[in-house]
Amino acid sequence: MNSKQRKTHLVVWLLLAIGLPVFIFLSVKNLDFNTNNGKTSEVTFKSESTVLKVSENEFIKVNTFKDSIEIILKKPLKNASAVVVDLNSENKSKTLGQISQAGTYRFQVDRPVEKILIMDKIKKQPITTLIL
Amino acid sequence: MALDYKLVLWNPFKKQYDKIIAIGMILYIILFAAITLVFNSETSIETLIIRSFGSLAIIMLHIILAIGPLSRLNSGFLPILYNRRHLGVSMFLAAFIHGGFSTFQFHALGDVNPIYSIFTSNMDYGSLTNFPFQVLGFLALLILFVMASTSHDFFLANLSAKVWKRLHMMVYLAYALIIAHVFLGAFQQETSLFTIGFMIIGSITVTSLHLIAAFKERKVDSIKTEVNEGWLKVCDVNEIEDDRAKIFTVDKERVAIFKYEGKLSAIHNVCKHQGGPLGEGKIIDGCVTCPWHGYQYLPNNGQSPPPYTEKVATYALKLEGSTVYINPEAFEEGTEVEPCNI
Repeated sequence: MNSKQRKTHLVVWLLLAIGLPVFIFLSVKNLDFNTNNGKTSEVTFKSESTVLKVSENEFIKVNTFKDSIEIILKKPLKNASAVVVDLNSENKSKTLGQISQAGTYRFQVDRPVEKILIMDKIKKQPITTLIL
Repeated sequence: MALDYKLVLWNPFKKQYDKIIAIGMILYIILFAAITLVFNSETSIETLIIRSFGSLAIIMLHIILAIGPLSRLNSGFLPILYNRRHLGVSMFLAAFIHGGFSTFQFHALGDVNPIYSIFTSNMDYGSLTNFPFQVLGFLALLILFVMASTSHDFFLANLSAKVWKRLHMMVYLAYALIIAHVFLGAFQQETSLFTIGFMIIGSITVTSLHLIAAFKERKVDSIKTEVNEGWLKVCDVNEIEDDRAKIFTVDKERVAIFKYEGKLSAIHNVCKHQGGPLGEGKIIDGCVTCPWHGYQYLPNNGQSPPPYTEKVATYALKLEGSTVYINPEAFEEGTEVEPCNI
């Protein structure tokens, strides 16, 4: 390398030496490294309230609490969009929220839930229903 | 050298290095797949390919970036530098497989152009945690593609060494984009202390090596010398080994003063091929031979032996007792200068 190229290399690496740590710090500071999160939540939930009812089908398991329901999605759905809908006996529906990957989802409810509908909002098709 | 262009200038060493690269890449992919399947047996084949080739490309890029400064700090690494271009092209192929599968998996199955989809499927450009990181990877892959496709000497000769070097220094921009791609992408979705730690240690190591090498060279450039009637004092003639050179800085440019067959000759230190340090090479078959890729120059006129056409600047030397002096005014490239007899 000639002197100009050597100087350019030095400037580039000085910039990277300053810029990369700042960028890395900003990008990782909000990450959650606590791998025990799931266990902690489980303990908290159990201490907060008692499971009133457990219902289950091929796709989901639903734990009913006093003022919330916990939906455990057993396997990923093939649908691009999946929305949880609360259906009561008068067939008045109320959208609770969205689910995507397999895992546990918790939704606050302000009335007893009788029936759960998982619906593909894009195709406007029911995916599964479960009577609680 | 640059008289004509063959696809690859093969020799037994190059073939051996290429075998090591290929075997290393295959072993890594197999190991990655085995470990992934042991710990997460539900991983799909597409995800496995995307992750294994992506991580392989990043590891290779760190090795590639470390070779340059390591060679400047320790000449024992020069043989690896000799094969760095093949390592770079192999790294691009790994990155291309990662990028190709990712684009197909996440963008090719919709009703819009996959490239358009990369830029528009996530428009959250103002967010750090939900940044459209695939755009950064795509831009880095474009840079790596340009570098891999112009890596042959044909482009080096036709673009000129200056333009080619500038083009290939874009690897640093690609490196920054890839770091951002990984930290804003994979880690935001699947946080792993081990992989983040690896990336941080990798970037600290590469950056430190480059800065250490750069400051070491800066120190060499700033050495002051004695001036005697316009001639600069270099060293005692006995400090130079036979068929080797002493590198000396004249007006921030480096000059290589070679001792051979009881004579001394000085030529510009920078090889016309890829800017290799000629003074770190040696005299082979009467020619100064670049340690990077074996380009050769005659020490008395700085010309590559016929039929090759590369030329470097030459300098006048004189001996007073056993002290070597150099005239700081360089002659035109390829100018014949009578060697200084010892």
